[in-house]
Amino acid sequence: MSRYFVTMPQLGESVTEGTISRWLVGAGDSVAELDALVEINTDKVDAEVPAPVTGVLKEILAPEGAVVPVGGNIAVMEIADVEHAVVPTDAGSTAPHSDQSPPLPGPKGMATLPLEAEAPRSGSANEPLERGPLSGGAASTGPSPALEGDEDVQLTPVRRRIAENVALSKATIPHAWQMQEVDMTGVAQSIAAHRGAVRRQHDASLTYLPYVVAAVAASLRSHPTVNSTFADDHIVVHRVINLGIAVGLPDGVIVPVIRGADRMSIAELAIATTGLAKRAREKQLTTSDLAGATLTVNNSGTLGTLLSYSVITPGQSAIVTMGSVIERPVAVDGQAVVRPMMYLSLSLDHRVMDGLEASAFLGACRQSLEAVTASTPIS
Amino acid sequence: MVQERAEAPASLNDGQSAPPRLNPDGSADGTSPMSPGQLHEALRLMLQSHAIDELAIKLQRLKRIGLYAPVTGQEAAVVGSSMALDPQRDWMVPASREQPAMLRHGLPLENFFAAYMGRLDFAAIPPGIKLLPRQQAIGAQLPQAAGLAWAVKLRHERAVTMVYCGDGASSEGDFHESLNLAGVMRAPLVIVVINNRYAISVPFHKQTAAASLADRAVGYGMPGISVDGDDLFAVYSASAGAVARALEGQGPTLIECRTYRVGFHNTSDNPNDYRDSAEVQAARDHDPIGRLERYVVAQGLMTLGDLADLKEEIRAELDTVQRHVASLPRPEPDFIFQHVYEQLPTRLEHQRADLRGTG
Amino acid sequence: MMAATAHPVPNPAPRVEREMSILEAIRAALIAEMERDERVILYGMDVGTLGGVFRVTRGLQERFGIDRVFDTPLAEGAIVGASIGLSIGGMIPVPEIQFLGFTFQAFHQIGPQLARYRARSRGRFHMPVTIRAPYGGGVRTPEFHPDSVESLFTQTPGIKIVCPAFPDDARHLLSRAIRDPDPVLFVEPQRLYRTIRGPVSIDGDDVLPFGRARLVRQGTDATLIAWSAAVHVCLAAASELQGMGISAAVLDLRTLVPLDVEGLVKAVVSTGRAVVVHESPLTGGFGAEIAATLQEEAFMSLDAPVLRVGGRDVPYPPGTLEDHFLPTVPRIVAAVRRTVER
Repeated sequence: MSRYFVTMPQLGESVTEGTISRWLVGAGDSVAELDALVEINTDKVDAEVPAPVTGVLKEILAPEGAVVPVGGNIAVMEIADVEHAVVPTDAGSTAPHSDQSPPLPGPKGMATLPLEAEAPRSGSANEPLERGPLSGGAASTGPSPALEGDEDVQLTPVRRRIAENVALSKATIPHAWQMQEVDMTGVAQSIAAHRGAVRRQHDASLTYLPYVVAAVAASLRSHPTVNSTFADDHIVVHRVINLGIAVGLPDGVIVPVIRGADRMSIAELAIATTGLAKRAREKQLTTSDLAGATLTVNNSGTLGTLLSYSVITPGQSAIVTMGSVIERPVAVDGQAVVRPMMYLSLSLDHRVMDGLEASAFLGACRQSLEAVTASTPIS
Repeated sequence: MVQERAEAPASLNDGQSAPPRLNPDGSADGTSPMSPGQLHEALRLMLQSHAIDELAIKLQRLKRIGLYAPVTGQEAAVVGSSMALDPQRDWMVPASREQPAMLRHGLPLENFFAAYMGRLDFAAIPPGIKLLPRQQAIGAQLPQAAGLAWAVKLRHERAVTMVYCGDGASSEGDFHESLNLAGVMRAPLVIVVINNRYAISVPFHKQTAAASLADRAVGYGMPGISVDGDDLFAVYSASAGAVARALEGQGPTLIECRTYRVGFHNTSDNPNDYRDSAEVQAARDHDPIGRLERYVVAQGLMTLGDLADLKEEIRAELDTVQRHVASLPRPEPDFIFQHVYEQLPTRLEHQRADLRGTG
Repeated sequence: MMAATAHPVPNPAPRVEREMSILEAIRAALIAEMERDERVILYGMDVGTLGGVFRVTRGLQERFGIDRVFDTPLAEGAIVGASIGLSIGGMIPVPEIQFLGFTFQAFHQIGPQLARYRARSRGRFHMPVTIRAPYGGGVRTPEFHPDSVESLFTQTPGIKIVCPAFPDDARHLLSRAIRDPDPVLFVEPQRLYRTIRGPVSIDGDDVLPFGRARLVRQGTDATLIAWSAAVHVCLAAASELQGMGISAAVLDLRTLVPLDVEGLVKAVVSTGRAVVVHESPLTGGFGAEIAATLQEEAFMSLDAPVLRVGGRDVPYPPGTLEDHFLPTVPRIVAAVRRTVER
């Protein structure tokens, strides 16, 4: 059985909350999809809201009289495991149904389905998979057998969107990958020299990230093909340089955009990246914060990763990934010295550029970073 | 079909011969102007309309469709008038509350649901279906319908254009301009004004000082007739008469169907804020569907069991279509660039590429 | 019979031309298109019996009959709204709005309805409608009659806007407009109906494509950009500037939608300075769109800011005060000098 959270609908434009007026079904009752479930009042409309799925009303979370914001949970339903294991959303995927009703036509819009729905069924001759007691029916929900203790975790909208995007990217963009290592000594010295002032004057963090962003932006000016979109039979080279900065949050990565990054100083980039990360954590990013990126910069080094092969965002031609900066012995003029080193990786759309061009771009980023010293102006 | 009717069309204003009546209790005065086949079709359309209203409201509450405006209470006015048309020959121009008429005129159920459910790639009116899209700007469809009827006349084609509007629309400038134009052009147009007594919250007596919207016809040089819009027979007779007049080259007719909007204006509306539930209850007692059900059972055309089966068949069909449409994909973002011009100009090609790249 | 050549010549026959006024060119286009396609109909207030308040359509009702050229009641909204239904019914409507300023009465049917109908019907219906309307100042007409409001329709996507300044352009752009499967607003410079004369090719079936500006005067120091009547004011200004040793090019846009961005940029890059001239009020006028496009596409080639000379931001004044409102030769000359003397 799976759990399904019923949420407060938005009844009427600009309505932000609703009051539970009367539950028409009790806990423990069975209810079919579209049966009357609950009466809700808002300041615009009073409405009878139907059940979004077929199942059993397990628990009422918002009692009569409770005021709940739109999207807030008001009840939990238990729904049977069914062929598609699909949950209908307002994006309108197929609705679940009980084991007894006939199977639905194959879903054409994969956008909102969890990926298991595309998996082969147990009926196929090649894969006589073991069925556990919870799977029910002749067809399976996915390639792996159900095990004791399994918990079905619903995809959050964020997770679902990430899943769609990475699947689409890997399916449509032929990825290639390169890496160069960068001596960050000069950058480290610049940070040491300016960090305090940036904190005092702008309440922002001066980290390695704004330096990398600046280097990428400058290198895109001289290597514009990297700043592009592959569009079937031509490449759209963007003149604006809008860099998406990946921010990892507990519920998934989000990529706010710094527009015109090539026109900003390192200090301004530090302020921008600090601000965006803060707004991302506080869930205050707007749609326009998230739109318009021409290339993404991903810092995978915050928790120690040295090297990673990031997935290009659909609509872009490359993604730059920076790893952890750690001190390592390297050879400089024949001598072994210890330097703060960073691996800088580039995932590229091979339809748009070849290795030569990619390494020229990556090399330009490296040179730009290695040219920084403590006296390089940052504002 | 109009041509098959042996009876004369309903008279206009002068009341020479008493038109047939379908009374609220299901009894009839005079013979039915519709054959048993037509009655069955009408009943099916009205029951389907009611079932669609109920389903669509539920879907809206679950956000599976956007805004929805139910036909509840007006079924006889919409269905009765539309049944006077020949979908192969005539044009139907809706306002935005004529769902059963659009379906009767040939819009497939799938396309109908696809439009409400945002599956826009599947929502266009198919080629060959002589139906215009719903119109959100009140009354704007009227001059368009006048022009369409006029084109039919210029091309010496034999066809009628039926256009719908409401009591609210009758106050718009477009109403006046269009009817005047249709009158002077003697266009083969039938204007069906569904007077459901409310324009959102504004009641009829605040909409106009006129006692009847049919009276306006005189000003445009065309006949006007006012009928009980809940009486299927009266609506059908008047409509068939107007269609015949238009086909005979006698020009346009205005038909006012007096009915009541039993449901809310749309799913964002709460009628309790502006009208009395007693008034609504009185209208429910005037129910157009109920009286037709009682009539067909009393006449022995259907049993109660037949009615129940019909309702179940309707419900099952709607359920299947709705689920199928829910499985269809939503349009890609660059859908917004389709059908702007026949050929996308360069400037728009750039904008589309921008959307594809970064949207 | 011409001998076959190794390199086919695009226009082997010599062009037959006749000199005519803008008004005559428009009438010639209407006649040609009505003869070519029997679905084309002309209608509006006074266009039938009278032949139009400017007599543009004189003689057409006699020639084509009252089913194809007719008078309508005084109702701009219905005139345009009916064109939508007429299109759906299989006609090619060419309605006239007596003066462009009265398109306000029909604005809803033009922008939100006509321009959007193809999209709203998802391609099921298209609107081959050409709305003709005279406009423009300089002839001391009463209120609303001179108003230049064509740029308002650049904000209602789905309609094309065509504004010829010369007879040959008027002839061939109007033919193109009538044959266009999409709606076109064709504005006619009323001041110049009879005063601008020029050669018009009258043989062959050539139409002019939309979205192609034309350089009507070469120049090296600055580029004047205009459409319709303002083109001729720019030409006069350019003459005067020549006397001051300033060489000004004049670019006639011919169509606002679609806009010839490439032609615009090319004409400005070659001089590095641009001045846009239009009759409608300055603020929010189409000159702002041109200036924005130029700075977006050709910023690096500009030697001076793009200037605009437009109507004043006031309600169009009574005829006796028109000249203080409209862009005049002295104002244009001053603007060009400002860009050059930076």
